[in-house]
Amino acid sequence: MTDAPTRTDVDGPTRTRDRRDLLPYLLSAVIVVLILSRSRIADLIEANGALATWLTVFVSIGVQALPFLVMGVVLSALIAVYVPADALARWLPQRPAAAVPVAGLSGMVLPGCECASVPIAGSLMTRGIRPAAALTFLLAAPAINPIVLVSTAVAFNGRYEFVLARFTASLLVAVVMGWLWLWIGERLPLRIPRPHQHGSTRLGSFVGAAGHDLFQAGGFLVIGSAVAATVNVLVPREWIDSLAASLLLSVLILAVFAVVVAVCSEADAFIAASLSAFPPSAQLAFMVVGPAVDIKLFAMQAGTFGRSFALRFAPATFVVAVLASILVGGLLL
Amino acid sequence: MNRLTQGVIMAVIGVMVITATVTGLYLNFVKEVLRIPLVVSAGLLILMGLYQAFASDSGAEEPVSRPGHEVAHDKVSAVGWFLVVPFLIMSVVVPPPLGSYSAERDTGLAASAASDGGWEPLPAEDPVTLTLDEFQSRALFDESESLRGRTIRLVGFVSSVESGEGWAITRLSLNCCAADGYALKVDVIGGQRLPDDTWIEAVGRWVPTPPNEDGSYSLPILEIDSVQQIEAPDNPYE
Repeated sequence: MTDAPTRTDVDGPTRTRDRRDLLPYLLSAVIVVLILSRSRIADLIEANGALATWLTVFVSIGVQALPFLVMGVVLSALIAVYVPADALARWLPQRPAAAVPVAGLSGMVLPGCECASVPIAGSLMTRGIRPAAALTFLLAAPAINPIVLVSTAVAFNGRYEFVLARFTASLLVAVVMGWLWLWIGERLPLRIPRPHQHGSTRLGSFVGAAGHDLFQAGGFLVIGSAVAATVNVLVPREWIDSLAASLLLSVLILAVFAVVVAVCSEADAFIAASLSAFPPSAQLAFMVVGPAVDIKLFAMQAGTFGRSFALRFAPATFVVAVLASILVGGLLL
Repeated sequence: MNRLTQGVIMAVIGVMVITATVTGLYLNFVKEVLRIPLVVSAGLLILMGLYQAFASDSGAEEPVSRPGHEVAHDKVSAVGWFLVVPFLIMSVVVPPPLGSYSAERDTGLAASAASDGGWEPLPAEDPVTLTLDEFQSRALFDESESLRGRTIRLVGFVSSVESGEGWAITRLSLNCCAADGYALKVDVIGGQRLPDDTWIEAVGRWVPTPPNEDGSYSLPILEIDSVQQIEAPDNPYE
């Protein structure tokens, strides 16, 4: 699908393009059918609460993500087009092992959620930042920026130890994953997005790069949000509440829950706080795992860095995030 | 997906989103604070989309495909088409706000404990209009019992519960978007039951109840004097 570099035979791309050319017509047909059958759809929705809820939740994730997605692709296009290739690399420490924690702390300056950080991490790599540092930034930015920390403080009603624990654990995960990447990651398949010339003027290149990233990351975001909406409709919250059990099991349950519900990192603290039947370390795990690995993030990573990368990176991140939550939760909460 | 298609779709998404912020449809899905970010990002999409589609030089539009050349890198894979789907559904299908279906799968108790500052006295107006969140908080946590003896007006929709008269005055609340919506319910005694999802304005009095033996709370109760069907409010969430 997106592993284009392997498809280098002569007629491969041509055939793909033929099929793609049909899509606009297909989409137009769908729109016409939708409009013509509006009243029947309205009846169907009114009779079916689950369908109505699915549609509302699915649309709401897209609407909620749009401003952050646009901010992310605009910033990443600015970096790709207007920042000289080695300017960012010079700003980071020379030694890769030292560059990783600096990249993690830089995550504090990007006030967005995970939808923004994937395209930005991609264009950081294109601009010569080592993958280890860019991936650390990718994991840190949605978890430790000021908006997320403030919303965590509000959600936990001024219990600042949760804010501190979240900051510490998330930064730890990002930095450990960066170092892990330095250690073994260089041999793993990572598709670094290539710098592409989208036009002969800078503005043309900027808009071209932003549009490219918007559809590339946005398409996968929508697939992820469809999965999250399905979980939202199929799994009542009361189930989750009734699952609170031993410490390790609770941590694992909320960690998996964070992966499948895929809420924005700016909202996850409120959900974590409401899961008060669970021990604090499990609540922490929900907030540490969610911004680092969830279903929509996985889909976006697969779209930007390649599926085989995402299949290795996401599970590893999950394990590190669970361990960090248990460790930091045990020390601080 | 070539440049022209990309640009047109960006502009179309932008127009759909701006329309939703003007009509108030966006409030079915997200909180009011997102209005400005939505307008700004939709405006950017329209500008970039129009530029992309019509003004940008076409020199790099379709990279020449040559064997062994990684040409598809510049192109967006077909997955990009999915981006338009949620906005298309929003504008054409117009999903309703979350309602009784979500509420019935939720305990409906979400009020947080009192802030440290204690409780302000209720305003003097009679009946006094409260949000469900405030009613719940005061009913469950206010030791000065500021609700006692007051006539209270609540606005919400009807959803089914197992206790009381079998229905509750209900409102959903969002932290961020409808994906994290949670229910706030007030159990009722008396009052005519209208069909699920009907918006009502109920006036009545608080019925104090002790906490359960295990320390948990049940839904607070309003004894209804009058109930009236109303139009759905502009913002369905509290």
